[in-house]
Amino acid sequence: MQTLPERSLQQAELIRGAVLGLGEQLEARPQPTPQRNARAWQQLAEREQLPLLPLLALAEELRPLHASLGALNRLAPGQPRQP
Amino acid sequence: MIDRNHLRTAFTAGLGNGFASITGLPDAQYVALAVLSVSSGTYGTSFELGRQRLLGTVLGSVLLLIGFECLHTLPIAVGLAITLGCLRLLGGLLSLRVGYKVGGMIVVMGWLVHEGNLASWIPLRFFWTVLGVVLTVLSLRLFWPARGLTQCFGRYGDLMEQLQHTLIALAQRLEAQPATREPNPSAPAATFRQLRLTLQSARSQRPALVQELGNQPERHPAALLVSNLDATASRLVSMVGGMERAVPSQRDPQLVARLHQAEAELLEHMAAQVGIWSQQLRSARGLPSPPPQELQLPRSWLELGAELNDPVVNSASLDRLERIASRLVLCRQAEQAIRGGESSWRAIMARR
Repeated sequence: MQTLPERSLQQAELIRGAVLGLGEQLEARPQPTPQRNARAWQQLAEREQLPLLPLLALAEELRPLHASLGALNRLAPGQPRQP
Repeated sequence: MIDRNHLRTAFTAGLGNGFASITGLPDAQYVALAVLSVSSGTYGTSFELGRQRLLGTVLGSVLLLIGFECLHTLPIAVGLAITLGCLRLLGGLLSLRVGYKVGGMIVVMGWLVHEGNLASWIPLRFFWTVLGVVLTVLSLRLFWPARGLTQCFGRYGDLMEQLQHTLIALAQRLEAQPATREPNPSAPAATFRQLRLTLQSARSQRPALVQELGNQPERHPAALLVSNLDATASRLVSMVGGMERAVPSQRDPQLVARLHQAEAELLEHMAAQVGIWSQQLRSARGLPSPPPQELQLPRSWLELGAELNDPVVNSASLDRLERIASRLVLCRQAEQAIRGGESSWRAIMARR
């Protein structure tokens, strides 16, 4: 994301937020898995003239990925075991 | 606690001892000793232990004959030490792990106790050991045979068959939807509950299987295969649950007909493959072989990328598109689960 122009990042705030969330998970700062927000993705698609279905599919892919990274963090050596 | 293994071992040792006593030949205790040493929960382990015990017996006997003949003029401690050292060296070269003890016992006992009748004691001892090993291996098939493995794979076979029917039902619902317009959401939900129950039932077989596998069961290929099956089945059952929560909407179905067709064809392909899994698991004697062919993806599914960007498709309602996105991701996860499971299955069978 560091290689992308700032304007592009601002245009795709949802994607940026999702990727940053994954980064937080990777850096052992676990966050709850984000809720579905189809309306926000629809607004992004309409604003940027993008097809909506691939964006919704991307959003669906990100949720289990986010949860898996959180689980990996919990299982990482040195992390306190949660009940 | 006395379990089936202990009972089988005691019964076989008693049977061997009884038979040896009836023959009237000396040194009959070696039958029972061989049975006790070679007995384990599984055919493979007992066979391997028996093979090593026989190799150890032969090696010990040969070294005893040579050592006693050549070194009997030396002090006993020196002659025995040299012979036992040679046994250790040759045993290491032959990769023996449990044969040392019996080889060493033969050397020591033969040297100290049977020095006058080695020519008769060695063949007799070898005969009793062979009889003990053969009796032990036979007992695993004849007395209280271990059925944990077959039952465990059978339960997972049942689960795979149920999954096959569920996937077919999901595909048929997609194909029939424009005509019927009224899917029955309660029936598949009941199937999902059944799947979970069957999965739990399959999992309940694992303690018996672990007990049957003997030492370090977690390293046994059967245990690895069951874990792999469980992980795959669990992912497929979760996928069915997700599909039930994302029932296709009734609005504007004609816009997404090709997407539904691709999804239905993938579900049918997965159902067929899961059916093959079920057959492999149910028909297996011992460890089941993986399906001969891996999961083939339908052309419509492979070409789905273009469909996702189709403006006509994207003009469907938000609710419908959201459900489609969920279902497509679930389908992709399911096909990855099947392909990953098959690849692990092949790796486990290749490594054993």
